[in-house]
Amino acid sequence: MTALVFRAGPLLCALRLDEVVETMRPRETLPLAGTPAFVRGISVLRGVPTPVIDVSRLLGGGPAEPERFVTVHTERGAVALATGELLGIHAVDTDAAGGHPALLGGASSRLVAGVGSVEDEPLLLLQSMRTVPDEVWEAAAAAGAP
Amino acid sequence: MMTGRTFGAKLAAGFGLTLVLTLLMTATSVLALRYVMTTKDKVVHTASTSLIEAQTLNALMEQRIGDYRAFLLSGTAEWLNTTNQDRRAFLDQVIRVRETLDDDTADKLLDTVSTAEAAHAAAIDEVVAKRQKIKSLVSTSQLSNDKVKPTRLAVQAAITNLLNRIKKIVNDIRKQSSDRATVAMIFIVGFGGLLVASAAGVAWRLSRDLRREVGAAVGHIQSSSSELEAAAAQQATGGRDQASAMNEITTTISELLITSRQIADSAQRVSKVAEDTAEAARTGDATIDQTRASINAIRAQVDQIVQHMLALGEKSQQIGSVVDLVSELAEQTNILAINATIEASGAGEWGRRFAVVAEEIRKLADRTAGSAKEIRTLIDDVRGAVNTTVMATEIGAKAVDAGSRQFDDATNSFRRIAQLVATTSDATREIELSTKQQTTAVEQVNSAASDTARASRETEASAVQTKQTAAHLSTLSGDLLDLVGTGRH
Repeated sequence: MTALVFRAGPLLCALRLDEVVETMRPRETLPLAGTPAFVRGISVLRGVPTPVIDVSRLLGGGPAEPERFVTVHTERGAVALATGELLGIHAVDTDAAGGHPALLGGASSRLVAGVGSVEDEPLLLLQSMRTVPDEVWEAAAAAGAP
Repeated sequence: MMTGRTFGAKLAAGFGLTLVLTLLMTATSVLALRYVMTTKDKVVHTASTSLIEAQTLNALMEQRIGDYRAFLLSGTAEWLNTTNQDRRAFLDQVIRVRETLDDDTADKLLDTVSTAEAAHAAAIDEVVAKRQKIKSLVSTSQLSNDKVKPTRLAVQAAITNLLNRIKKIVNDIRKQSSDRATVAMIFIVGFGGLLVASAAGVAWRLSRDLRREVGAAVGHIQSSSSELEAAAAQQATGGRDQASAMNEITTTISELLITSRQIADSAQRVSKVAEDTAEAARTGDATIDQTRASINAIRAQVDQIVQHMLALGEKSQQIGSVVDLVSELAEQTNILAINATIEASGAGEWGRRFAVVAEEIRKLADRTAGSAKEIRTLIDDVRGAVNTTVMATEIGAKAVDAGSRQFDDATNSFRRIAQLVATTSDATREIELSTKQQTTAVEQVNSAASDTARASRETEASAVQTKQTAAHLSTLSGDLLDLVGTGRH
């Protein structure tokens, strides 16, 4: 399975290649009131207003300056993920959410599809954004709330 | 009356008084002797003239009688003439006797003689006339005359009375003269006694004053001699101390002289060093000019380095811009390659091959980006180095400026030092000259100090001599006190 590997703060993450629409440089983002902390705001990409999610903050890695925007498909349209450096497209071998799912937590386990490794560094394969249920987002919002 | 007079004045006054009395006594004695001599002369005159002349009368009378008797015997005219001459001589003698007499009684007696002689002459004339008549005398009785003898006796008696009267007068005058001589002797003896008494009084007074005043003075002299002796002893001690001190001073001055000569030599050496320093300073002037040129050249080189470094920084910045562009392009290429890979992943086999190409492009873009990043780092390093170099160069330029200013200051200081060295050289020469003069002066002082030391020793010897003299004087004072009768104190 090929995936796009990137950094999100201290974390090393990957997205399945078929989830990714495109990558681009970070664009101007307008913060939105009343949104969870991991939502950086909204940005206009390809003429369409798109919410921007900070992956590092989403996965509990703390705030990080975005280097790239990676747009992915969701059921409600494209979502931009603010990430760190893109490490390229690699073949990733992970346990399919197996292993020790309990260790991955409750709600967040739904965000992480599996865990692999690249060059002795753990790699979090993210869940497809289309399969993340709303409660997960809510739980993530509740967990990320200060 | 004599109080307050000096002893010399008193002595002179005493001797003056004695001298006056002596002169007075001498004059008085002379007057008395003259008086006595006058009286005696009168006695002698009376005795020698009146008495002799009167006795001559007697003789002439006897001579006439003899001649008369011869005439009577011979009857010659010769004897008659002689007889007549004898009478004239007798009358002349009467006149001379009268001239010598100043006594009335004697004059009367002489008148008596004249009268008697006239009577006697008349008697003789009668006899003479009788004889002339007789041619041949047979007997004397032929010539007898009774008047002749009484008149002759009367004449002789009158002459004898005259002689007695004159003798009496001579005796009276002699007695009177003896009385006056006695009076004069008594007067002279009395006056001599008065003179002796006065001289004794003066001598007593002078002796008393001599004892009192000279004794006191000699006592003072004795005490002063003792004080002088003590002072001389003290002076001798002082002279000895002074002589030793002068010896020390002479030694010190000799050392000072040596020091002065050393100073003069040192000053000469300093003068030589100062001249060498002045010569070195003149040489240093040329060196300073060369150094100033070198500093100016360094300043120009530093300015050029700064300019070149600034140009290098500018070029580096331009390279940085190009590298930024390359980096930007590499990043864009990276994004495009990733997106191309993403796009190609859903396009089957052709897509996979395209994805391989795109991956290679991405890798090239990554390498390009990495190289650009390294270049960026290197350029940043270069710029930092340039900046550092520029700053260092500017600091160096400022340091050169500061160094130039300090060099100017140093040059001024150096020139001032050179002037001061010249002044020092002059001053050193003056010091040398002054020190030589000082050495000469010290030598003179040394000579004077030696003279003074010798004078001190002589003073000491003189003080010892003075002390001995004072002791001798003290002894003499005691002897003098014994002499004046005051006795030793």
